[in-house]
Amino acid sequence: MHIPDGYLSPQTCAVMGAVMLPVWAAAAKKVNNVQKTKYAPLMAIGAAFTFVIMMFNIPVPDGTTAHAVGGGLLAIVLGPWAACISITIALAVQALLFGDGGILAFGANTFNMALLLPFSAYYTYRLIAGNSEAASSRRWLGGLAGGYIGVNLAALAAAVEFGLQPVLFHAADGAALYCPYPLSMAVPAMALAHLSIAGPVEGVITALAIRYLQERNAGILSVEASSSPLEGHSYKKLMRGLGMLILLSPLGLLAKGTAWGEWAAGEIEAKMGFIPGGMSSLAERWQAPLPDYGLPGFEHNLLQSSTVYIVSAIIGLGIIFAITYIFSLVQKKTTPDKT
Amino acid sequence: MPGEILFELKDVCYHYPGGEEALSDINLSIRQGEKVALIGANGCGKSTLLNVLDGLLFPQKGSISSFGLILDEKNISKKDFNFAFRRRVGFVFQNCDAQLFNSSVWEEIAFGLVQLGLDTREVKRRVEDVMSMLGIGHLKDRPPFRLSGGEKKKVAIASVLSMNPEVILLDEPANNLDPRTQSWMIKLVKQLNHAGKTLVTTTHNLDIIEEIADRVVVFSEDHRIAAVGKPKEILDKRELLQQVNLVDEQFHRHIRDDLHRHYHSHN
Amino acid sequence: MSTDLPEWLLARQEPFQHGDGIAGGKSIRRGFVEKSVDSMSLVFRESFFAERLASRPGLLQGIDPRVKVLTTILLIIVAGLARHPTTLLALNLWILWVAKVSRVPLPMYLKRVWLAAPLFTGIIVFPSIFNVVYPGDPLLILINFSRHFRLGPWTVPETLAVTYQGVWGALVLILRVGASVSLAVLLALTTRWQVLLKALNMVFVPQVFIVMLEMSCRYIYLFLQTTSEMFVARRSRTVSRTSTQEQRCFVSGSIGALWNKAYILSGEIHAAMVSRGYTGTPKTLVSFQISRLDWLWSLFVLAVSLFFLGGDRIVAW
Repeated sequence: MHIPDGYLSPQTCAVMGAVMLPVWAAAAKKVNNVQKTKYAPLMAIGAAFTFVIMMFNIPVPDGTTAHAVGGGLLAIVLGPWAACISITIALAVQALLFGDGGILAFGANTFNMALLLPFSAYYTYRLIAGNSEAASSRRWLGGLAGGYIGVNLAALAAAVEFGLQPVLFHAADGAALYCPYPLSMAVPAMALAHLSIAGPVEGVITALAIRYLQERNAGILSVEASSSPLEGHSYKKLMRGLGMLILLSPLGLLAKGTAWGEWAAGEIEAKMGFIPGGMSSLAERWQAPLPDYGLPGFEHNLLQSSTVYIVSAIIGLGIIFAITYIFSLVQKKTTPDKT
Repeated sequence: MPGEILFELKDVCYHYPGGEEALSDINLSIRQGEKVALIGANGCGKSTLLNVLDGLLFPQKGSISSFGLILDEKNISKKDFNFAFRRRVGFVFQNCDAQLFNSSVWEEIAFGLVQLGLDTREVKRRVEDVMSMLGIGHLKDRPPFRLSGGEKKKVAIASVLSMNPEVILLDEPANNLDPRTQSWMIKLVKQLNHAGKTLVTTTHNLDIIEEIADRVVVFSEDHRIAAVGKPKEILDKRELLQQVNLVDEQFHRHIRDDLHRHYHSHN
Repeated sequence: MSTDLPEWLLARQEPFQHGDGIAGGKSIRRGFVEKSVDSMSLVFRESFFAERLASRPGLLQGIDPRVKVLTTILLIIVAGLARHPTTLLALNLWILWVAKVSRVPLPMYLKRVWLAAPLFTGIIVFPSIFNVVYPGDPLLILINFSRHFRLGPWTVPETLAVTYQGVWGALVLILRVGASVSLAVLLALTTRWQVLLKALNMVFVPQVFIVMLEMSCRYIYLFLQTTSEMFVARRSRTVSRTSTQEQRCFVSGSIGALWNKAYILSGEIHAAMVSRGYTGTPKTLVSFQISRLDWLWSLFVLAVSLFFLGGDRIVAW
């Protein structure tokens, strides 16, 4: 479910990143308020835990193996906000150090796996487990359903992100520029894989791990509950706001016909009531190379001849390669390794 | 050479959130320049006591004062007190994997100094000095997972020493060390004590307590202090050591020569 | 020894026969344990490799990590915006050249980059080159059905053909994924990881996140060691084949056990941090120096980006 760079347009990535920024800010504040100085070590350990869980190969009935995300389990034991931060960190490590999941697609990946997955898993779990005792079977049943629903929702979101690409971005002749499959194909394909394999794996693993914890160390299951900051007005308000934002931001804009992600900063302000931090600078970066690109000094009729293109492109490339090489020569003469 | 009282514990009781008892009615004072060893069977509460001394756990009953000031949750959350206390008391944890949480040896040793707000040049100087003192300069850029057990212990000690604490708390420092590193450790403890540092060490290795302590506190299994005395006196009380479950009936004390004694149990 | 050994512990196993296992028994299929241990050891190998490469003298190794992070992101955006296969091909060639002059061993690098995400992408986009999946102008007609027919909600066109648009789109996607992955991998390979994470404060990542990233990296190794040991210990005790259900129980038991350990450990780490003066707001020493060469490199990458995007816009329209 880790979306690599290239499948989603940079515009989509920017929107997803912009959606995640307030989520991270809220999550950091929430968890910091409860955990105080424990915040950093607990979140870091949670991230390391998720990372390692994703390495586990889990046997599935057909004899092959699949892997779980562990996000549902983390949300159940630490609460969804903490899980959001931990999974974000784990995904950042994967994207940066292992090239697993894209760097631009980081916003989309975290939206699916660090926001939708833990929150849906947690609330499903809560709904089923309720106020039952730590040893109750409602707990692991909740884990089973939570893991299953969490993974499937995350996959659905990924499928929607994929499926919107051919609608929004295609070349003049209709060729797809990013993921080529429309919603009608992306959603069923992802759903099939996740409803039948990844979802059950996540659910079963979550349930079994909860049962293990119930038997050995039931106290750990109530860690989240005993330190739960999650009830209260501001929280509900925030959740409602977030929900609105998540639901409305892509849909509203699609309906209006503007291409997704290509809004001016002012338009965003009008829609969301504020400009997400960093968005304004990002927007500038994207608009710079886009509008009406043309090389000054070249006459249009001159450019008709394709040989000129080819020759100038090759010369340009040659210069770039040469300069790159010169950089490497200069580099070797100066410090070999600086930190 | 007992100096002023650095720590004073009065009727200290501590139980873990689950209700599990860890310390009961502990009365103890630790003076400047002392070497104190805390001994007792596994789970007797000696590690908990170190956590209490380091202001990490706070007793539910009784009081503790350090450097003449009350050490409690309220005081330690004050910035100035926290700053003054943390730079004076260093804790070498038993679990090196918990203590070494930074991504390289250099950063590990610098961590405390940076938290205390020392300027960059001073941090660099101290880190270099401590590394060359302990002979770990070549490990500078290594991540902790690529260190051997002995190296980890040395880095853990370096990370505490760099802060130049007056009191050093050592939790089972000789555990899992090869004989050579173990004797290095003993030598270091003595050296630091000569330099005027106060050392509190927990151990269940009776072989080394004469060297690392001039006062021994024996814990019973019901989390109380069973005896306090000089190492030699304590080691001679076989019934006491048996009673606190540190040794079994077969425990012998061999005297090979005047300088080297050896304790062990055998069939 | 005071405890008596049970009788069965004193009995000896029968001597090892030649027929045991080697000739007769079925060889055991590589199971989930081996796969898990493999993927875990891969993490270690990767990090050793990265550390070795990062200390070699080479182009990218010498660039300031913060400059590297920013230029990498810029170039990935360029790859994201490029729409023409030629542009992406040229970009890929240039990245390869950068890797070469950064003394990255190319065979390994190519395997690492192109055998993973781009190959996978190729498999994924393969169906989209056919007109039944993605409509377009036929490039190569495979089957002529000679008439329309309907299959449930789908209308199957008269011919089964590979389309021009499909191939174009697939090429663009594969090349773009390849370029993006190459750039990300190159960044990770030529920078010491500790330094790379520290450099993130340039892209507006708050300090506390960077501290958590570093800590989680550090503990990933510990947990990988712990779990590989659990898995290997299991393998050494596995005598016969086990059921899938039993295997799943083992895996989730490991997960539960790991979480128990992890949670206790996080408490200990917290104590160790507080003991050394941590008050909740992490402070770190960051000493980066941006040299003139770094500035020149940034300008150069900017120029390269404009060249590629400009060229792309000219050829694509």
